[in-house]
Amino acid sequence: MRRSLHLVVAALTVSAVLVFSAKRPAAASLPQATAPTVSRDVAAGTRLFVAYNCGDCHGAGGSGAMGPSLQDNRWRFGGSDTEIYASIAEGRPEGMPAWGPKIPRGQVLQLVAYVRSLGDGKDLTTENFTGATVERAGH
Amino acid sequence: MRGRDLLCLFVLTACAPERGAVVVASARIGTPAPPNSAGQWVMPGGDYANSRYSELRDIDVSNAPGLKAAWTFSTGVLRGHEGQPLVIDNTMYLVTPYPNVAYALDLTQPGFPLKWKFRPDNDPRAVGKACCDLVNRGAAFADGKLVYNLLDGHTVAVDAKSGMQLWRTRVVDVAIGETITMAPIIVKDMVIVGSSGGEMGVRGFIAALDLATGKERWRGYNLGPDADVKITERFKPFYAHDRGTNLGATSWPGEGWKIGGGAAWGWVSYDPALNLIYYGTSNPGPWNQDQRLGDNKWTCAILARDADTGELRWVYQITPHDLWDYDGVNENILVDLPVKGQMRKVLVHFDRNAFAYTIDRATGEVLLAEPFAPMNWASGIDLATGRPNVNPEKATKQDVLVRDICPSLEGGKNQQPAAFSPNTGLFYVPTNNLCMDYKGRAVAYFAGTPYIGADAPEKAGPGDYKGEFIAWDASNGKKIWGIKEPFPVWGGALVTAGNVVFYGTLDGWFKAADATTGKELWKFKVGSGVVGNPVTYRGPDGKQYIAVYSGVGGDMGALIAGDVASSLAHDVRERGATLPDLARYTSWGGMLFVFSL
Repeated sequence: MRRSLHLVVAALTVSAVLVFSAKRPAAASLPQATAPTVSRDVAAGTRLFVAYNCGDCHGAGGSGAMGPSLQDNRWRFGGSDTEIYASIAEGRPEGMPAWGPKIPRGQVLQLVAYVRSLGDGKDLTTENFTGATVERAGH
Repeated sequence: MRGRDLLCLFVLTACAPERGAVVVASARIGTPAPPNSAGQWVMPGGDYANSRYSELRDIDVSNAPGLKAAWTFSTGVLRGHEGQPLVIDNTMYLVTPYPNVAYALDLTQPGFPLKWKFRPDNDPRAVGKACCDLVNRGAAFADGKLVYNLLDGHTVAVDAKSGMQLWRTRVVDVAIGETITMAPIIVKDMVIVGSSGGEMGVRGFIAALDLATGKERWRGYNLGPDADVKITERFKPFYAHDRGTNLGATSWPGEGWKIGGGAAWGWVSYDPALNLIYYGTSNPGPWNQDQRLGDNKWTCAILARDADTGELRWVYQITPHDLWDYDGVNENILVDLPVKGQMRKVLVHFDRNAFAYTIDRATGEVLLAEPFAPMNWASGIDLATGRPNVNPEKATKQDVLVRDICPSLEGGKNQQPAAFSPNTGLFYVPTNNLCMDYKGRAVAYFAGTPYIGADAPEKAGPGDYKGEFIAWDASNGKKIWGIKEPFPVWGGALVTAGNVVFYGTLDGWFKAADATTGKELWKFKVGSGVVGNPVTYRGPDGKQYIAVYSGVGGDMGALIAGDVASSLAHDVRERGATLPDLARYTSWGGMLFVFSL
């Protein structure tokens, strides 16, 4: 399928995705002045997480699939805004693509906000098998 | 008294107790293992037929309850240990999941010390590109070379004596999501390899490499124009709707075939008399059917190619325009069977879509197709056209939630290979009993990332079990017996002339059963779940041994189960709803277990 057709398809999902930035965002360093205010961007990040296929690697809602869970408050490459931004924009060694060339910086910031929100209130330290089954959606 | 027991009263010769009753008389392996391989395990499926049958009979129905663990070996790698060891000239060869370490164990020495260890360079990007754990399904062997595939898309040949690399060929590009997990087979002086990545927008193919040099001899794409698919005037599909020009391209919208999946990540069979290799192709991409209207040829299909040239000779599309992620990659077992009163050269295929197909392997004609596991997506297969009669209530669409589709996307059976016994004429099949809800969604393609476009949570199928190990009569399309299991049966089968069938379970049991009756004879808890395939061999001491990997993983044992991994400090998951209890009974591992009397 031609790339242009994919863009149309993406538009059906999230119109914002269509805005592929022509200029490459500054990848690794996140200027403090533009650090995301979390609550405002989580909703946008939720949609982008689906539109950029993040959920197909990291599981629905970041529950973990072929890529690691994002709900567990465990961070292999650091969990600060700057570190998560770098993970998304520059990629990581075991298959995380560098999204910097494809996703405008503002949207990366919204994804950072969403990803940081996924572990809110969760503590997966203990798994008690006599308890109720935890429901998890998605593939 | 059951009908068969009544029959036994009158036909005593058909029910010899020590070797089991002949259920399908005159059935035989189509392409048996060469005589000089007796007592060894020389290729992934045991022989070119993929029968996974051994003539060894020291371990039989009467003494199998006395099996004991003889020795073990730690592979040093966790993750799903699909595949199987090889045993050649008193040496056992193992290949681990990523990073695909190979070991050669000297079976003649006490403690089975290593002859060598081979640790290939293996691009770590592959870890994030492989859809369904970091599995490897084993090596092939010929001409003093151990040949196998690396997850990062290379094929390597290793000198069996020294462990030195002889050649290394890049077959696919990991950067765009292509990996390799399948076990190659060696046909004449060629290594047959296929690509993985059906969830990543790849364009699947199979290729032949020169055994001596690793240079590519031919490559046949599974999608696209005829020239790429290697369709020539010798292409003679059985069904009229498969005849035409460039159908591998025109059955897709636009240029969808360029990223349409159809990977060849399963098992390959070979018939020397017909000089044909057989393999299946994966699902089309993306899963969201609205983005790929058409038959999507040749995905979810069985392909027969000329071994020397790669030309496509026939094709049968099992699930045209797949709506459920029913890959067609499961093994094709080459046997000669009586079907409707006539001996036929067939291949038998237990598909993800839960139908068992008995197909003429010379022509691609479907002779029989009957469900072997719970399913509701089709009312049957039309033998006049070969096409399924799809249940419209279970057809998936974009933005529509379709509930309770059976089987789930894991299929009535997945990659775990079945076995065939010429003694009983029966197939021994590890199966799943899962269903799913499915909702397609629009998806964009980004190279090197998943190209899926659907959410499909899975759940238990009907009845109080999620897997069943069954015996199947492919002459008549009937289940003979079944052993229900609490989890999907994700490990392969082995059957022997001792009339014993072996298989492992996700929760870590390795079991032996009577091949005739299905009665459990013995079991042993190996710790980590079994997703690999048992093999048998005669050791230098003259004894028969059974070997199998323990190491849960693969799509079912890693992704779907949720958290069975304790070694990843940075990745702690909630248990999945599909197999919520699996992590209670097993966790990741990487061991070889060897059993004997």
